[in-house]
Amino acid sequence: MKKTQKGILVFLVLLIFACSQERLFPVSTESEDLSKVNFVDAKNTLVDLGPKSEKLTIKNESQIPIITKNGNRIYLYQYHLATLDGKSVSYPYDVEIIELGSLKDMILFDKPTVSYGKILSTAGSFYLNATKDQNQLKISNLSYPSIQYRSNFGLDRDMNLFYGELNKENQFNWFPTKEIDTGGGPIQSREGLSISDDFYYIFPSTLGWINVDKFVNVATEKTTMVFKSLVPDLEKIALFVVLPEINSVMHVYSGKSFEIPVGMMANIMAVAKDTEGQYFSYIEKVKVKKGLTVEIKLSKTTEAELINALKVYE
Amino acid sequence: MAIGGGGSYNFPLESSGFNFKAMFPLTQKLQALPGFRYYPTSNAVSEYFGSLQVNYLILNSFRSKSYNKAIFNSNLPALYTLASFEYNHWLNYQPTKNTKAKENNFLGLVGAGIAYGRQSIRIYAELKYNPLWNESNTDFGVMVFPGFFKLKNSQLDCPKIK
Repeated sequence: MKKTQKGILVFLVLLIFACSQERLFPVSTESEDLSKVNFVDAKNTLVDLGPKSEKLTIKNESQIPIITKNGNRIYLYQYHLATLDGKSVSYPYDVEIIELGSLKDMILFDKPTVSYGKILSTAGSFYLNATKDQNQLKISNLSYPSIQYRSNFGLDRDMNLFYGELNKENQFNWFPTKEIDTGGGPIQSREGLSISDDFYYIFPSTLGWINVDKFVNVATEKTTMVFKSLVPDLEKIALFVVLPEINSVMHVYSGKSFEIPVGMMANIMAVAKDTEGQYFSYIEKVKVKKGLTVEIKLSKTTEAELINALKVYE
Repeated sequence: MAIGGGGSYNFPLESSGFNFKAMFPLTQKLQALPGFRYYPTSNAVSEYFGSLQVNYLILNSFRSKSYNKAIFNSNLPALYTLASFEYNHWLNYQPTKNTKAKENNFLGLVGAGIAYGRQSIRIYAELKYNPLWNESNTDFGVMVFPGFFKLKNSQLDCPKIK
């Protein structure tokens, strides 16, 4: 290959990586003095921005399967449910469903894909709950409901089922179910999860937050990222690191991320809100490297602009 | 000349759109391409570009050209560098971190492309870089050379010498 052609090839490769996303990030034209702004606590920043829950009353079997907004099918019959003291349940009962089918949904609903500090690659998560006469129900020990779930991220046969919980630090965490070795075959089964050619079939043993995930196993070195903000304090900022390459998002607590593979492209998404409902944001794309410190510089934004900037994670 | 169109993609903004262009051979190595590129409102940034692009063929130039035909030397891919002068109108403009980007902009882009196919129809793919905004995008599509679609025996239309 001639020198000129080689040069052009190198130039083309370089220009794909030499890219700025600045036009995605709106700024206010007004000068801002953030020190005078009363920010709400980070945990209240994204309230109301996430996908709305579906609530319905199941009066009889003809309403089953429940077909969700995203087209998933939930087979939750009365015999799948019991009261908390173990008594059987009859129709009607109330069901609540929240589907987080994209990284955007997970950011807005503050449901990062992390399990005990390790990042997960997700195929989607959702919330399923049932009550009767406003009393909490549980899954019966006799039989588990089933959910036919189509993931926006495609099918991955290494996925497992995880359940969500708040840990002692009040941080959201996914804990894995046990992996079952089925010896291969067309349909692979793990505890509570089967994978066919088109769908995940989920058999949850508990109500609440459910996630189809896998741990990210990459051979490369991992590191943490450090975040700083002069105004406001980090505790007032809902701070996320999005890893689109592996369908993963983490919430950064106390200014330090969990471990991320070195060399991976990470999108930083920081959001804060003041007591009057004004949003502020900061977004930056970085390549993960050792000793990386990111300074968060918030600027005013609107709810619509914020949602628009998250479109890339749909 | 040739006319064509296809898809466009802005890498950093992850915007998808489409492009139309015409091609006029200027010399055996130079082509002029007026064009239009549009990113619809389904993208975070919706905008359109009117452009005048000049391609410089570095591999497989024209053997000959006429008012309606441009014949490539061979069926090898044509590799070219390009420079494009563009007018941009950002449809859903708002002030952003990129303070150089306004609602209406005049831009210069550089890049390279490849075209491959027959003399009558060729596919193309181009990578362009906008140094002012530090953004890169690709245009790809199909270019049709209508001059080659005339009937093979069209010369029969010419007056016969008796």
